[in-house]
Amino acid sequence: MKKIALMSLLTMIVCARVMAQEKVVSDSPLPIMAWANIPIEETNISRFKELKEMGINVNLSNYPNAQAMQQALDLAQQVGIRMVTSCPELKTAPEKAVTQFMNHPALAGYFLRDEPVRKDFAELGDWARKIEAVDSNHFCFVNLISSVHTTKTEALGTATYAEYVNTFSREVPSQLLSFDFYPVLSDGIHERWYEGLEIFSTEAKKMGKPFWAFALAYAYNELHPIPTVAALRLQMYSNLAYGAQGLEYWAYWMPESYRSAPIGINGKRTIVYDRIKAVNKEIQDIAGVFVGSKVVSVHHTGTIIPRGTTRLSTLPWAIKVFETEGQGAVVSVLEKKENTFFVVVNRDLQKSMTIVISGDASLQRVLKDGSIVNADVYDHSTEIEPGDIAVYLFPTKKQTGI
Amino acid sequence: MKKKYLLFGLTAWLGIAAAFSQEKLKSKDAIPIMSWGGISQSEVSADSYKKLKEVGVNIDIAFFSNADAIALALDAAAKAGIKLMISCPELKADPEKTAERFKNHPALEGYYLGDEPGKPQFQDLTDWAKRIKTIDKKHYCFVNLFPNINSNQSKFGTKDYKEYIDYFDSQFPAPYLSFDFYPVVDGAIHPRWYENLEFFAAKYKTDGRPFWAFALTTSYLAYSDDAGQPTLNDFYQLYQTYRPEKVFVHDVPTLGELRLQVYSNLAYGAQGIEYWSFRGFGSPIDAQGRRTVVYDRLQKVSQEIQNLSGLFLGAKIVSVGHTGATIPNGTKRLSKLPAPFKLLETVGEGALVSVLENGKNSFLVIVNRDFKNSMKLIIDTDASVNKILKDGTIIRADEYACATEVEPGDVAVYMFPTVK
Repeated sequence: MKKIALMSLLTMIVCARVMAQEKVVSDSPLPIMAWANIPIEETNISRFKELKEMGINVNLSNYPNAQAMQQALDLAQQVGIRMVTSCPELKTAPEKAVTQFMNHPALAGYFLRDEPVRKDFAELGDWARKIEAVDSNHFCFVNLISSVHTTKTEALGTATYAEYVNTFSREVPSQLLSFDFYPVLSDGIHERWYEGLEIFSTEAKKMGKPFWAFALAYAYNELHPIPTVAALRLQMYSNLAYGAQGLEYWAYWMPESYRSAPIGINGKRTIVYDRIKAVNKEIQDIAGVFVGSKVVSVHHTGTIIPRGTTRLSTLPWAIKVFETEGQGAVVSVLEKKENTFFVVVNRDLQKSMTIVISGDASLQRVLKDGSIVNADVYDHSTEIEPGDIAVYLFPTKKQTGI
Repeated sequence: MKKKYLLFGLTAWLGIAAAFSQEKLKSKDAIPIMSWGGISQSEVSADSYKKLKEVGVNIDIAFFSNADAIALALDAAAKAGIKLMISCPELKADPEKTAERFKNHPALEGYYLGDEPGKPQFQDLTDWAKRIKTIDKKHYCFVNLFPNINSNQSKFGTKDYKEYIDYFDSQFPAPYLSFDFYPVVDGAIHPRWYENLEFFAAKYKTDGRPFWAFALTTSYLAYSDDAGQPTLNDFYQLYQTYRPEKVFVHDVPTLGELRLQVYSNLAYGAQGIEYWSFRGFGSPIDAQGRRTVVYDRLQKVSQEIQNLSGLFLGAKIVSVGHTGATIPNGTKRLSKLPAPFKLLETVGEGALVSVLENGKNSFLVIVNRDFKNSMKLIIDTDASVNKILKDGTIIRADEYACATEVEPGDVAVYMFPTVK
């Protein structure tokens, strides 16, 4: 009898009606690309599936010949991911190679070059134009050098970092811009990171192009610790708060002599694989906040704000009170048609940040799973975990009568 | 214009990319998660119960002032998909009539009769339960029992804790036992918590008596002279820092603390989880009925444990051991691993390691006892072992590196075939 009572209890619980909540929706997932470089001998369906299961939907890998690239694209199609890729033939005979691959459904774009300097732009421009002449449906991908020194740019070949980005954008046909900055160091956050995001996002906006940005997925030297969930969140949520329309991880498969990539040198998953998978899931749950949104403003709070950034001094109309305690936050306002998002990222990698927020009746909160609830169902005071995000939503046009 | 279409094409393509489904741990049922007074009488509405359901609660104890209020609450709870354990004066004054009134309500879970009774109250409670049972054989009566920390035993009314629990169990007709222990005090683990879990796990293993156990979901002050709170004298004495003037604090629950409590309970075989409470400073819902940060933490933990319900619900305990330089009072050191495991080492404070059997599958459950720091775990298995990820996904264990980490208070789970 006791068993029957428990059984009926459990059955009731399962049969209980599920309450559906409104969620923030996105027409498409956010592109999340891994610089995968899965070894050629491991290029198979289960490894591509494993990559996808980490939350990656674009695989950047290069191949020793066109045949290997074809096989990889076929695998990507079977798994349901896309590729930014290249092979030597793309350089030696671009028109022929492009003709071979341009109709492959798994092709996202052509990888041309990583971290070029000013003197490389002309050649890259010629190459990209040759490709575009045959295939204007896929983009040419070049990743730009980070903004570690925004003024000491002799090595880049330009007077400033902004000029480096701007010149590239004008001289090399490119539909999106990408740059790599690995800001999480063993002793804190790189002092130039947010300055770099400011410059890059501003230049991209001027050119009317979306940009993609990175998180470091492993400890590639002693300066960089093994990525934690907080470190991954801080990088990705800061990128998104600045308007990034795509995210990248470097790297995926561990190269010799490095530490703790998602897939170890022995081909086995590490703890970083699980951490990235968890963060990617979180990001896609709220992708609707970011995909297609326009940056209205980005500011910072805290006693000391990062170099090159500006302090938050005014609030959007729907928010009456906003305060942060501790190290401070990135605060951005993103607009997407009738909705505007107030995005708060805790800059502290170690400690939770208390925020106090109060808005008018139109203010809603976007929970981590994408659910939308009225902001006033929450206490005014709440906490944001290290590197994590809080998102609020209000109408782009001020409601009359509110 | 064309370029814009290209990028849109990429994102649109990503949206319709074929999804590969991964095998997940299956369960027919959800783990019962019961809140104590999640919704007060003045707050009763379908929306209030919905808020409770969204935090992961599927049963609420309703302590209301009259039967009419219970009737309204049951209707509201039914709309939200929650069940109620009911308590009102009429249930005591006229049990038969009250049970008759509510016994067919679809949202009725059972009848709440008491909290932390001593042996002198057992007979009354048993008689009361029997009167209810004569009318309603479908539902059960619920009583929560003391934890083992009362060193003077004056509240038990028995010579020791074992007699207290065994005697209650021999008298009172309940489908499971329940006890409340709030183990995180002043940033440390109470030294007798795991001993208490050992006791109930042994009872489950040898007598087949399931138990439900608690997580503290609020902050409260435990005054050493407050007779209304569980006395912590044992704790003070063991640490030889007893200062009567000191106020001991259960701080606002962190994710690590919540995980440690629920995963330790489940690793010891608990078949239900109880949250106490939803009121007061640091609780999931504040005095104005608004959600706090604890609400979000609790929601996450509730979701996590339901992802693993196929492991824990109905599982039998095979063994429980602990690792670490020192192991908790009353526990046993892990000395033997199931055959498919070649190596298990933990670095740090140590882990609770239990082996649970659930039909054709057995599970090695590893809980990081440290609720502040991650624990390094080195584990090596044969090819028969699968790893169960936090979302319930089943994957071959050897696809992971031998060295991994378990977050504060968190769990790592491995599955292997049951060998008879």
